[in-house]
Amino acid sequence: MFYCSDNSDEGAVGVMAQSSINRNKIVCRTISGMSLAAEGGKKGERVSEINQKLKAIPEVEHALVMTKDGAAVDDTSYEAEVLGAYTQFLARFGGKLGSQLGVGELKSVVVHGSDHHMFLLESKSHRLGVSAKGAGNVNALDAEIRRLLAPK
Amino acid sequence: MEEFLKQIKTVPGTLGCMVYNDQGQLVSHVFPSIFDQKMLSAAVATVSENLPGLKDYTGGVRMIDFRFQNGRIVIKPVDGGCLVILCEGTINLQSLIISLNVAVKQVEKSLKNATSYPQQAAAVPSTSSGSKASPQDLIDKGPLASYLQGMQTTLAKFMGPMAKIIFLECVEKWLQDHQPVKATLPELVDIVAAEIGDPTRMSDYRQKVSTFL
Repeated sequence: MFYCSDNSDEGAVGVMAQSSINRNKIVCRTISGMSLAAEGGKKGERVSEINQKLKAIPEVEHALVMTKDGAAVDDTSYEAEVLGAYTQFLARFGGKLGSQLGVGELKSVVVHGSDHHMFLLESKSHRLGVSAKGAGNVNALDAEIRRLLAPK
Repeated sequence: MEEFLKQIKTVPGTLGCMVYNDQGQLVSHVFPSIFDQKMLSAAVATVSENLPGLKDYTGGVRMIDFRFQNGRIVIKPVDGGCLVILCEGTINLQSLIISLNVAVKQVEKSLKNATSYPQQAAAVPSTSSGSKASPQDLIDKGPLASYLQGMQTTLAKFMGPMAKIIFLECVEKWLQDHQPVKATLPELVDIVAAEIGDPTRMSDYRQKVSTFL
């Protein structure tokens, strides 16, 4: 059994699923109004379903939910390991830059790359890393990812 | 260079903008005085050290948009350097991108024309020493004369007629460790403020000076 509950107190950009695995149960709690949240904990989505949902976007190559200490949730693939490493790197980079310029906590990052784009979304204890093909429009992809993860 | 940065800063919601060269040295900035030189140099160091780390995965970074609790930082690599723009969270990114696209060519051209910080810095002392320019010359007719004279006049309000001599000594001290360029003026303000001694008056001096720096 797994369920999700909504917690929208973190602002619009902190779109992430917070999940923990307890025996055979996966508890998935949305943060900042992510639509994976189901009502009253009766229905919800696994972390892998977040990946599936994002992978429905043709340009998305990989999506990974990870804890802030770098552990990938529900994904042990090599691609996840690589994406996880870059996601952590990007989070540290942004965190340091933000503290130096006094703009507070990092909420999200969009990297417009030549071959691949990267997206990072932060929550209290987890982060979501997404890689996408560089051929896609980065702003449209960002909007599409947010739309898919937003509450319905 | 500053002109192009000011052009970018005209986009509503833009708080400050700076450019560094491919040696990771701050070339120019249009940040409010609350952002001191150390702060900006530290940010430049962070960006210049970390940006190459993303190259393998992305195939080269065209732009990064960091969103924070209290603002947004946009990083735009250009030929010969990189632009770092600090914005409010509510900025219209598309407007900023349009302005960036217009300014990028000019920024790249300026960077190519060796107006970089170290080169500029190296050029000024050599010119100074070549023409025997003294700290007094810098104050009287150097490229920063208007700023320096303003600082000296302000100091006179705190220290009276001795201000001229004290300010000259401060400029000499400043030139020992810094290049005479606008970006290092906050360090001169620190040196001058230290001469005032009294914390309240120091703060008052800083505030008055910040209005024209």
